[in-house]
Amino acid sequence: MLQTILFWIFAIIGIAGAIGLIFNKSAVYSALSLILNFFSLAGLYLSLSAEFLAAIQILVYAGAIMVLFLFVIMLLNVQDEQGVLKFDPRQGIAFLIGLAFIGEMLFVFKDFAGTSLSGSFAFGQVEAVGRELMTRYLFPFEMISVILIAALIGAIVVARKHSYH
Amino acid sequence: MEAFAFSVESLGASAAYMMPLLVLLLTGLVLMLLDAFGIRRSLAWVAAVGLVISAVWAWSQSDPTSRIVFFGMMETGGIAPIVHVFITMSGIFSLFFVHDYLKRQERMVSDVYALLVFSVLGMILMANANDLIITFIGLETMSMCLYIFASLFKTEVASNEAGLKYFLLGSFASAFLLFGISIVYGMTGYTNLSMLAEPESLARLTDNLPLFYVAAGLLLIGFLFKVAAFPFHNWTPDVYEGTPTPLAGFMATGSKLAAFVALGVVMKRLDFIAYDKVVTILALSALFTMIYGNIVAARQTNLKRMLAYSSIAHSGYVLLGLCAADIGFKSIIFYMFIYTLMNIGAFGMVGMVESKHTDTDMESWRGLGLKAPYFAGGLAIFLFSLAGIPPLAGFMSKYQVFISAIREDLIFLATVGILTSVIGAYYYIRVIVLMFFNSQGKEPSFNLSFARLPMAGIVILVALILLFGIFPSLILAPIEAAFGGGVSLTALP
Repeated sequence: MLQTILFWIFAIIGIAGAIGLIFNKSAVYSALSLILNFFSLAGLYLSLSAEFLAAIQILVYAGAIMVLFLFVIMLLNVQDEQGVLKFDPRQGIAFLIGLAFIGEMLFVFKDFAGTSLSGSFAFGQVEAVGRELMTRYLFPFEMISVILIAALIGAIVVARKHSYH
Repeated sequence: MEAFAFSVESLGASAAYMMPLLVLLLTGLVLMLLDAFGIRRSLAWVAAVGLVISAVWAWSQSDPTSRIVFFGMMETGGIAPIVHVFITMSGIFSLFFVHDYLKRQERMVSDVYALLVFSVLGMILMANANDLIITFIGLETMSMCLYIFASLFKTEVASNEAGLKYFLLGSFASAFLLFGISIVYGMTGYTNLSMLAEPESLARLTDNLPLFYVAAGLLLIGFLFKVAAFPFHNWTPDVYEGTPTPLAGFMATGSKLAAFVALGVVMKRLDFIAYDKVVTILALSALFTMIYGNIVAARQTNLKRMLAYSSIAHSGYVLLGLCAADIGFKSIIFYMFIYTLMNIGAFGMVGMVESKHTDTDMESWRGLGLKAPYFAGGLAIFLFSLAGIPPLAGFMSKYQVFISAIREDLIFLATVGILTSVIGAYYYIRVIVLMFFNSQGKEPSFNLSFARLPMAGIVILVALILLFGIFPSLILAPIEAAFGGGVSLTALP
């Protein structure tokens, strides 16, 4: 019962955050709405007893990434978006396709909502995640470092001043 | 927890099988360090040596029975070694052209070598994955490097456009793929491909057909974007145009080979061929990709854009092969390998003609055959091969794909494929006519690059195209052998 109530609270806040992200004209407000969305997702994770995931969600996304994001927005002094909501036939088509996609998803997930995964409650906790990361998911865990290196090089290539020699 | 029972020893054995991949990782790191310490003269050679060692090592591990290593994450044996070698070769052949191109563009960015090696690593991870998580990580590693290639010349508008477009659309497509993977995980509880191929998991997928179709559709969107198939092709010409030309050749070959193999493996394990609707979607995509790619390519006046649209068209032929079940899968590996040879050659040569101030407009190629007949002759061979003229290898690869489609009763698609490749022949041969027979007394103004390394690359690629065109069994036999023993993709522990 409590879980259902919590779910609805977090879900509504999360969706409100997502809508705020899209419809705010100011980039800073959009970023703040995204943080709201991240927090409510963390709440959802908590209610599914995935404490570790919830903590990571807040630390990494809401903490590190979004702070960086806000810094960038403020440093670049991004102006409010003008005329984003003006109608354009292509946007109309995109809107219709998006609507069809949402309808499709709702239709499909309608039957799926009741089923639950057979996972133990330790599934999302630090110990279980750590054990899985160091055994079964060791290889992907290590390979993610390659993505990070590539992204690092990319950032340097794009950002540095004198890249030709 | 589940059916896996991996002992600690298997980790050691797994590590032995992963050595070719670790060689790539090490090469990439060494390249980064050399660059950081200012030793930049022989970076291309270091990269090439690393790639060759990795390829030879992988080839030495070839084994008809496939093994699952690293807790079911990767596949070795079966088709894995040959795919590894083909992807590495795409990287090696690109290296012939990259250094010279960057030098003449006066934009030496020495980070490309490390990135190239890392993206080869990502491609191999993606293609030889036995777990959708690895497929995704491989795809992201590969894409991350390719995004940077697209935006390498950051002072140029075209390059900025290419980078931004590719990055935004690519991330979007990755999200679709991830969404598909998560639905598959939600339905079965597995991301592991060999666990998904178990009858029990397949039954769970079939239990809720609408959801399965959504998952399959999302997975297809992710993959079809990466191979630039209709209707997810729009990014291709702009991105290839803004990317340094030899790297665009690499992008069009290695990444597509990896994505097609990964798609083929996923299709095989999740048994997509058994679902009519999924096959119909693939077939429609193949149909429109072939028609669209060829017709629009015929209308291009810029050589680089023409090659980009033609690479869309080639994706269509490969998709046609994918619709043709098992035989088709063999044929597309052959096709993509041959395509790698001729496409890297073609892009490389376009890059050799380009200089900092000339564009790749077709008009400026007029009369090249009279000024530099051997050079233009080399390009003509690549173009003839891309058009599928016998006795060049491009003919054999097309033949293999079409014949396997016909064997699987995809007569209509195969007919469309053959008809559209006639259009293909038109626009490839038009360039040749322009170079040799239609000079209108004009002399091309650009100065050609006759650096030794790219010339050696062209000679090798032309020789290989002739060789595999006349003796296709040199490549077909190893592919057959890789599939043959124990039919690697189905008989899994």
